[in-house]
Amino acid sequence: MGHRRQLTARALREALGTLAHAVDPGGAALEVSLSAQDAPRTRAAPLLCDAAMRAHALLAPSPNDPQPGAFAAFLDGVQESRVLAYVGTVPIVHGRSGAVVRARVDRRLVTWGDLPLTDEAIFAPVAALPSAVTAALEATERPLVDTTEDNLPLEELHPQQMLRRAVQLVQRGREALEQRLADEWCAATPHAPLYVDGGLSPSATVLGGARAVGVIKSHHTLYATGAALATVMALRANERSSLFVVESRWREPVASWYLRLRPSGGHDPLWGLARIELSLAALAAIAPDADAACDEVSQWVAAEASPLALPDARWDTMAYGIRDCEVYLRATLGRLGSS
Amino acid sequence: MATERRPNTTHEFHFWTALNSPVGIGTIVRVEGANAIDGVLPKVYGVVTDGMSYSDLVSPLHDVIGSDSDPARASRAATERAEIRLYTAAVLRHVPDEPLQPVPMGQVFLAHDRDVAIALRMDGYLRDGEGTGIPVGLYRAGGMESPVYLDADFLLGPEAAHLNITGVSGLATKTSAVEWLLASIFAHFPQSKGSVAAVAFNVKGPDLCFLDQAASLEEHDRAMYERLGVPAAPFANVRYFAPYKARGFALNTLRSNPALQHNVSPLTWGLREVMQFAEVLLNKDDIDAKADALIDFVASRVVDQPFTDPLLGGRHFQVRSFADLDAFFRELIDAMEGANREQWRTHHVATIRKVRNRLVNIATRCEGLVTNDGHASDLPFGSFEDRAVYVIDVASLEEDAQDLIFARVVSKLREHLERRTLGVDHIVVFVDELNKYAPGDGPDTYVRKMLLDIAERGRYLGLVLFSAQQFRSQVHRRVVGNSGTAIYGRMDPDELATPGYAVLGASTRTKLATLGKGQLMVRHPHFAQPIFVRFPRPAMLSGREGAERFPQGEEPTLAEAVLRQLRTLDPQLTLAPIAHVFEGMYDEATILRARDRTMRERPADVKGHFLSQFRSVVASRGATPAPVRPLRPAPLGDPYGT
Repeated sequence: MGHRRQLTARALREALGTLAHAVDPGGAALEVSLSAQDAPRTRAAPLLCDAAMRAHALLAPSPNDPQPGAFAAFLDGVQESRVLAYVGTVPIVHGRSGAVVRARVDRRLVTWGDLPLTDEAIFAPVAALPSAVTAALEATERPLVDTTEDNLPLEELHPQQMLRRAVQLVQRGREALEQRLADEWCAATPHAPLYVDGGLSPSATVLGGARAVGVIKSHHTLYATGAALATVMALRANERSSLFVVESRWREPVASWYLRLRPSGGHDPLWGLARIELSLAALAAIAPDADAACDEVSQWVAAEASPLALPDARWDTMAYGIRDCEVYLRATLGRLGSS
Repeated sequence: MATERRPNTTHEFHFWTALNSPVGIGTIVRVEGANAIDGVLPKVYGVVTDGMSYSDLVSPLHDVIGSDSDPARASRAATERAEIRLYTAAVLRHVPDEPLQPVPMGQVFLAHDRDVAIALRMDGYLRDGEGTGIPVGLYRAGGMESPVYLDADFLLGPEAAHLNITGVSGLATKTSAVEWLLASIFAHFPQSKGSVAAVAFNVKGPDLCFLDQAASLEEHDRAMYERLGVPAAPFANVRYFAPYKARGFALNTLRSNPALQHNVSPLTWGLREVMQFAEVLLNKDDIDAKADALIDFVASRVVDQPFTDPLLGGRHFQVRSFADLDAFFRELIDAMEGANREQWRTHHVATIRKVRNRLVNIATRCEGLVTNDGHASDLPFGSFEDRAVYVIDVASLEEDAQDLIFARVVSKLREHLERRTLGVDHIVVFVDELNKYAPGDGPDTYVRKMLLDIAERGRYLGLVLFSAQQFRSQVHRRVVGNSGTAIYGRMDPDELATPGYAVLGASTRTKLATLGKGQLMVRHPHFAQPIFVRFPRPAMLSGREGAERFPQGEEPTLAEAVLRQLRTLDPQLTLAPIAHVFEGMYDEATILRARDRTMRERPADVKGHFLSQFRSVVASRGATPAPVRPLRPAPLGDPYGT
């Protein structure tokens, strides 16, 4: 991104002058302050091997054998959206995102590639802004992303909806960075397992047989209903659920299953529960037997339970390598919120 | 890196390194500031004094949880936690000196040779041609190897002087360090500053008995000698001095192997050499003012002076030996008894009896060193040689004899230096076990006063004290405090806990407690902080090695001992021409007196002169010796009777 100075409320205030009033940057990022709009849901998913959802116990590693460190690297991204100023009721949002691959070398994590990928832009509904403001924003040398929505008249648009739109676009930018890094890794080292925080990208390179493993920590959508859901929530530590297929309009189908990383006693049934995604091609490449391949990948993920990712609040399902990515990105990019 | 909680200051700064960095305690580093001041980029030199390492583990409990309470599992985790190595360095030097500002943020580099010289301010005295640098060892840290030099002006005077070495016993570091440093001085002391020699007191076993014998050196030691510019060779000019054993013909030294006798000389003193220092042997509690006055009178008016007194019948006394002194006192006391007098020249007869006992007993207490007949064999005061080492072996002597030797030798050195007649311009006096001779507490002894005097004023004369002890805290602080240079080997932990080491950080003290052989910490006036160096193994045999290679010779017979000494005057002399002297006709004392006269007069005809002494003895036996009357016993209840 060159050597541009970081855009701050002060810098924007100077650029806008009296055209807008700046917002104190001390508040929480929009990713935190905006409440979730969509309601959690459950969805039935077709099972791949078993006739019904059931628990599969993983073989415990031998006490005398070193912990298997199968993952060669960890991929994660972060984003941060903040309101810098308001022009009337129209918010001007500054969005930043970054993504990095941290490779494990001799049990130490180092940055893969030259630098992390980063992006930065200003988000605002251009149609609702005076031309003078638009010109001032363009003078900041940051990309100006138009968040105008065609399906609603400007005068009827709620300011929070404008903020949500901006956050969505920042998220897309972060996902684009993550996908780009995933593509680069999978193209360069297709057989080296890559631990991806979150779901797999729809990239053909990633889904084409490379060993990228997506680990989803949140459960906004549960791919089980009824008795199957009860089975999933009843999983014990080091147990996985049956394999199922996640289908969506925006991505090729991928194999998926739930894995309990830590005992949930005393916690919410979803505590310590992660969902694993793996491309169908990679599943077939790891082992002819899908269940055997699933067990192997589950062992990979379970081995990352130590060291703990504390003091991160999501330590129950977060791999230490993912936390390292976030710490690295925060140190490199400054204050940023995690995905 | 500096934070608000741990800021950089004018005297301290912080930085971090990679895990595989060679930085450690004692490493010298250079900080290069990024912002010029008055057009000059500042550079700051520092030495690492502390370090810490930590990970992103917030609580040990987290590690326990993560490894399911299995310690073995924790070490087998696929990923190690991120770790930082954070160091604190004390500032050695700011360049430029002004303005004096907190250490700037900047890149930190390991110091190379030039940096080490600048950091330690050695650039001021390491000039081509007439530099005054004396190599003390190699700075080895951070993967670097750089010579470290002491400034001769601050080691041998006149700006500052004296050196003190502290370290636990048994590791041979203190003695080795002195041997190495003397070799370095002899190699590098500038000719323009004059000549230099050393006097070493061997106080323990064979420690210093083989300084002229070459040791086997490893290749790395030879490389260090080459790097430091010092010849890897033993001292070329060493002379040993030791008193006789009680019988008077074998020297009291562990350097008694026949192959090593060429440079071993007896150290014997008569009355005139000892009288001046009688105070050393006389306890102040034992001598009151009255006795002291009498001693002064005898020393100034009787010894070596023609003396006569009406009470003694006008007889002329010439007191030159303890035997003469004893005879004088006998005559005096007899005369007083005969005249029924209790006072003589204001001295009470009881005082005279006491002083006689004390003075005459000196020869008995220091038998082998102090001779009755006045014969003296001494160090070559007035003709000391440049780069020579004079070792006085006092290891097997009683404490009284040790004290006497030390006091007299050092006093004579000082006298000659004051008159510029010693033969050299600077003399280094090495004394081990300083806590014994200059303790921090206890009575004020003559030896301690002398050491204090050397420490405080010796540097102006060229009289330099190199001292060593195990516990610096137990030595008089004015002695160690006046040592411009201090060297520390491995230290006793209890010693390090004493207040004197509070200025050193915990990491430095820990390093001092674990130093290996050949490693030292050096404090020197030019060094803003203590510096760790390594010195090479001395090129001369250690005491233990020497004792193995040159075991003690069997104590010689009287004939062998006398012949050995006479052969130093006449190498062609054999036992046959003088064998009849040892066949029982003459007693040991007579033979030894003949030897002493011959050694003293150094005649061309050694054999003839030696044998002629016995013709005199035979002639003198023709006359009937005058009977020696016993002294009357002291009256009962006499407080001076013993």
